[in-house]
Amino acid sequence: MSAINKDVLLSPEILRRINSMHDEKVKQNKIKLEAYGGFYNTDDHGFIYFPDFKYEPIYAEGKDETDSGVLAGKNLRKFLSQIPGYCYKDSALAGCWVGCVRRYMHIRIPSENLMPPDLEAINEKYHMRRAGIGGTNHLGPDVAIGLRLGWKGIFDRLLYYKEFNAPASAEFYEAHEDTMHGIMTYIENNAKYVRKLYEEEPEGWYKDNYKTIADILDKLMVSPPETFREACQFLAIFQSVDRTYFMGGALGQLDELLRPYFERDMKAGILTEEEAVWMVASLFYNDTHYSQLGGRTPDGKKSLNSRMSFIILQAAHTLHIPYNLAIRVYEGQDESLLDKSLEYILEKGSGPAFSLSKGIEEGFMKQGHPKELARMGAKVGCNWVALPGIEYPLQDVTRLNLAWPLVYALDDVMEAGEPTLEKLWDRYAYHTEVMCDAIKRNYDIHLNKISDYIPELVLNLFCHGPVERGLNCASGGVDIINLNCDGIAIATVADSFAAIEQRVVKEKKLTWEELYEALKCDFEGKEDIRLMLKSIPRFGSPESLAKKWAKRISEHYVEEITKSPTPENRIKVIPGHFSHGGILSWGKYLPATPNGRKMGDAISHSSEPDPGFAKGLTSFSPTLKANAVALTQPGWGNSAPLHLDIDSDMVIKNGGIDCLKALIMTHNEMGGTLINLNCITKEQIMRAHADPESEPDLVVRVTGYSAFFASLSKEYRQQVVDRYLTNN
Amino acid sequence: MSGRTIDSEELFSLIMEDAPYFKNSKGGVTFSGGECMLQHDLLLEMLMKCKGAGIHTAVDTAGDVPYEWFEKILPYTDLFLWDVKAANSELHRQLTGDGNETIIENLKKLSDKNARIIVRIPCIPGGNMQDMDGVIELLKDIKVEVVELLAYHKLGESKKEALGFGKTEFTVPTKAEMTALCEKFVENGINAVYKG
Repeated sequence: MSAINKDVLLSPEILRRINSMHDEKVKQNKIKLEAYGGFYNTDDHGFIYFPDFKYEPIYAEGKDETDSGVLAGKNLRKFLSQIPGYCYKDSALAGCWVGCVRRYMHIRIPSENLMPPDLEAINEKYHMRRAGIGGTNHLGPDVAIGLRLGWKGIFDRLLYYKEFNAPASAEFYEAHEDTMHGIMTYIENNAKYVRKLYEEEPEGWYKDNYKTIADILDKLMVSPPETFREACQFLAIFQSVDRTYFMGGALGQLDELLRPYFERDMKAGILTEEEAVWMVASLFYNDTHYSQLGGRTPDGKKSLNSRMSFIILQAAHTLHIPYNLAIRVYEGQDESLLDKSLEYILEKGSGPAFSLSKGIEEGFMKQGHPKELARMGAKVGCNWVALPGIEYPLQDVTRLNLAWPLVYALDDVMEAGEPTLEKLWDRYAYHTEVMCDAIKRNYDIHLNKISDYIPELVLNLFCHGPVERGLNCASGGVDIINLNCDGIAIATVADSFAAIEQRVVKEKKLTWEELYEALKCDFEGKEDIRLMLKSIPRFGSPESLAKKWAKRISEHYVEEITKSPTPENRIKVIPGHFSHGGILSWGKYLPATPNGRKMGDAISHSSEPDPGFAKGLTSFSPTLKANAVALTQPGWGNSAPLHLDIDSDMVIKNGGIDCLKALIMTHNEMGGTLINLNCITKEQIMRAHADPESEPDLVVRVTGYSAFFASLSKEYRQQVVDRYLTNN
Repeated sequence: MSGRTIDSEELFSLIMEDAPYFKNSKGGVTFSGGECMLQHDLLLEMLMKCKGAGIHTAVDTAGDVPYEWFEKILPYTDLFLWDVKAANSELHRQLTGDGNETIIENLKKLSDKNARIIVRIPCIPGGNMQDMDGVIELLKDIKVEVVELLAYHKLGESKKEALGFGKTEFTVPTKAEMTALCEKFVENGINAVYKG
């Protein structure tokens, strides 16, 4: 056995296969870009575009949307059974997905009479478009259930509990039974397809490879996976299927899932390390889904770093397409996996994210859970961590744009006359409270409806409880139910309050009326005022007014969210600050704000300072940015991520890996929750921005997810470029 | 050329923003310049504040200031980064406009006081390379932690021109020359390094 962290020496043949998958992925990306209008602002997701694929949904008579979980199950079954077989010639695995069912049909909670008029009015007034109703797939499966049982075993378990619980939960079991039928047909179709490829292929490696894959698929129809390759194929099927149903399907603690198979096959002499690298690369070629490496056992005594962790990391690094691995970081850890991931990031510009234990675990414990449970969380989404198979957290699907309360608060104080800063704060606090209360009411609607219309048909099969109880995970299927909500635009609001305090209240360079007038005309003809407001020490600057406001805004939001559960179902809501990449769309209808932001401009990211906050202040601002994000952590286990986009030349000048490691470890100690890191040269990012075609395989971490830079819209590319230019 | 005026309070608050990182990076604060010793009062204040906060301190200096100024800061300075440009005072004057007597005397005094010192020597063909035997002789008798040999580079050339000082006539030493020079220092019992 090699040293745990030593790169596997890859033979030319294995490298050829992996490079071939890389090239094919870039080619597929181009095809998708052409088919979807030139860009898509998400990660690659791994789906394959079939131009002729069509789907005819099953709706009840006279309707144009599904109206029950049963119908959702029937559609998923039909859809899965129609996905074409797929196997890329140099991959070790078969199967793909063609897109989310949502793209092909209306599968949702019916909007008619969904909410009372007063709640609808609030949602509309505050532009609450991610308002907590209808969120799907944002929970972490325990894929080990499936690896242990196999597909047939999962099906058998379902049928056993259907009978055991009969006649209860008949609809639940019917929908999931249909799902299982769909999955089995999907596997069978792929097996037939690969068998056909095998028959058509002349003698040689490709023919042998197709035969191996077809045999594995046949076996997985009836048995659980036994070998490493079979386990990888099982995971590929799982993620293809679950992606299809609302894009779920994260893998969880991938190194621990695969380690038993790896060790067993290595010991039996039926697997080499380089074959393992190829097989894992094939799994990433199949999909770029979220999974975690490293961390520690629930009792905290043993590191989860294993040879498997390094092999998975090397596979992703060698394949060099977008991937969404996260390294779990904690104080006192064996740093070898962290070192290796940083080495890879410096080599190729991007790589895994860093999920920080202290903030995540202490926050989760604050919810009333023991630390052992907190350690079991795995990063399985853009920004979020979940307990695989036992928690329904619904993170990352509900957001409140906190700039709207500020806009209405300004209207209120100006209309009332004799405005003051504290009156403005009071009104801001009032409007924020209205939004937070509305979110909780929305969440009650979600909880009351979601299981009837969009049950988690695939993920329920990989949880502890839903199948046994005949309950969707959102309705008591799993033991831990948390709802989450992200308050966003922290810097936009903080800088606005600070600008008013400095320019209007302290310096009296502007009157309240002049400020309000400038905002109402979107600074038209008042560029001097806009620049004056914009040029204050902004959030991120040490000892700034904006820093004080950011802390107050974040703490107030956390207090409003946590002070009460949802009014009807009494489920607690956990605060976070994650904006995802959509800062432009969140700003689209937002009027001008007192931080000098014009109408329609982007809001700030998550709880991060705006780009350029440290201009003229320091030559190396990542630490200031990290401090700002640490200061505004919501502190309940949900994340407020830190994006670090650092010129790799500068990193090398400032101590290389050691400097990055110090930054990561310190952010962890300060309570940070997640770091997304890009390290390429400024020249390369500028070149790629100007001519995306020139860098077709440049991969960047956009927000929580990783993507081909060339596949992003100009606006999204600009976000990344802005972060680069102004962080350095 | 750019910069801005900053008072000690603001500077210290800026330093403190980074203080949490120093433990993990084994880092600290280096006061540099220009010549930070020319602002020795402010420097002393800052060094005292940093030491009070448990932050490692380093002073990067050419050493050409009264020794009393060093005496004041010595208790609060963990490390000196000391420029030695030439052993021959006349050559030093040609290169920098001043002789090196004060610099060498201060270096010796600080060394005698057991200060931690890293000597840094820019190695410039056409500048001070021919004086390196003299530098070796000089440093043989002075106790320093390490001598870092820095190969001259031309990264500052455009700035020099922009400031109206004309083009430089120096050349860049080869790696082989630097390695040979480093070996010579080591052979003479000096703990020298060249990082390439």
